[in-house]
Amino acid sequence: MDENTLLKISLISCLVGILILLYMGENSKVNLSDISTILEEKNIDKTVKIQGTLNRVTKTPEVIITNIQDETGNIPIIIFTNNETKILDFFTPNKKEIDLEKGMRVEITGKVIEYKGQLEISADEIRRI
Amino acid sequence: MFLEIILAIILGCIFGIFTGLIPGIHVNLISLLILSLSVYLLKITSPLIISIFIISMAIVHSFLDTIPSIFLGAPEADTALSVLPGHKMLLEGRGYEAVMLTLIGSFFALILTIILAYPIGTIIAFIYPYLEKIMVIVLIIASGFLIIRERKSKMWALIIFLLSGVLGLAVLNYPNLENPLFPLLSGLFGTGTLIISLSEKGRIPLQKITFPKIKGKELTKTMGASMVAGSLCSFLPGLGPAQAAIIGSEFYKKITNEGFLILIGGLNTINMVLSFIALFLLNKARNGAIVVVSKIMESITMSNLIIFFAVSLIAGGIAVFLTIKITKIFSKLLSKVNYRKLIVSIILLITIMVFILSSQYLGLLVLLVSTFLGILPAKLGIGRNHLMGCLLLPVILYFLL
Repeated sequence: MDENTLLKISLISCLVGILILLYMGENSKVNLSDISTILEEKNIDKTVKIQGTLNRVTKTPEVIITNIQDETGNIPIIIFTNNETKILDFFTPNKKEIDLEKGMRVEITGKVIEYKGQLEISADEIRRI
Repeated sequence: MFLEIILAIILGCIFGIFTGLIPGIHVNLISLLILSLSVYLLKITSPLIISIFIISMAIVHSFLDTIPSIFLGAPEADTALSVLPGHKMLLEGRGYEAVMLTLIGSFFALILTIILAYPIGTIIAFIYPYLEKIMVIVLIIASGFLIIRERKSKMWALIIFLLSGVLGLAVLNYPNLENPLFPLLSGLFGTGTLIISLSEKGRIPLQKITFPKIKGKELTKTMGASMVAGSLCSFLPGLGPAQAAIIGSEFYKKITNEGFLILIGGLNTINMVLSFIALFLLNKARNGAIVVVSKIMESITMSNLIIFFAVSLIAGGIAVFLTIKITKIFSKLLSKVNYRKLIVSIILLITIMVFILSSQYLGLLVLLVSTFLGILPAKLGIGRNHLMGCLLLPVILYFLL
């Protein structure tokens, strides 16, 4: 082996790494789901994305509890305010943060968790749509 | 996201150059700094991106840290053993070759570990409960072999092993001593070696830029030993590349300096890559950088692990290029300077760094005692690897007591 061979192998290593990253990026995109399809225990700890209308919003200093409804069902959403959850307006280019209100249509990405025997979503990102 | 990852890798590589080349500035130090700033950093980026930065920095560091170890005789725990054969080759004008050997070890170990991650992980997860009991026996046998193999004086070898072991115990358990390994290992393997070199006259010979010729069989054997020893040591507390090197070299009847340098380079990187797997499989963080990653990330998923491997491949590829370029610069610079002045400057640099990073006068005291102990093996004509008692004895006692 000489220096050039080692450099060539290192270049291949970089390219393989970049290709894996691109592949992972493409596959880690979360697809939109119906609420009824995520109301199963096997989905606990999975990251999901849903769209629907907020039919209840309760705000406390630490947490916002809301409920989202689509054509197939509804599920509680929990937003820990100290968790840096992003609440964004989908249509504003500068991603300005917004306040959640009852009746608002949103897209929510978050992790399915179980609380007191009931499934809910711990939100990572909420966008008004 | 992709651009953020690439930016994190580039920044990690830049910081890795900094931590790898400056004696005493370890990747763990920067990682802890990142952890203390994480409240602010998480406002602008995600935990995954911060982890990618730390991993890139740690991988580049694990490739570059043999440069100060070989050229300046200022090692860290992971590279302490490379000073001895590395310094010998430097004085033969083969410093570049010595670094290239560790580079080959690091790079091939990185690729092999990633390819073999799944079988290694499966085996280790299965034998992990029994490993702790086996490891202490392996370590005692390896230490015993180390002493029995000494040709000149087995008694002095045992005394040096025990003395450095007691020193290691005292230093590692001393309250309020920051970065205890830095003055300890710099004294035993760095300044001790350098002071002996002061008696050697003249300049460092002109460094030849020749790539080492390694036989395929030698590389395969060394990589095999690295993989076995590295896998055993990466999953258990208190064990690292230095202990793995002692165990790994026992697989050979007679290991050459070249083979040993490949082994050291390999183990250093294997330890880092396998620590991702240990975190994923056993939820245990095995080194400072991974402790910070585990604290920043809530949990490590399979896709996170694959991303970490991809990042390691990219950072490793960049590190190969960086190591070759930086070693060439070091080789050219070193031949031009006065050897005695250089050694005095390095001893001064190590002393100042110890004063700053290791609790000032307390660190200097550890450096002084370690330096005296580091001089002894050369004066007694026995191997300096008995000084590894400073890390082996505390770990053996940790498992036994």
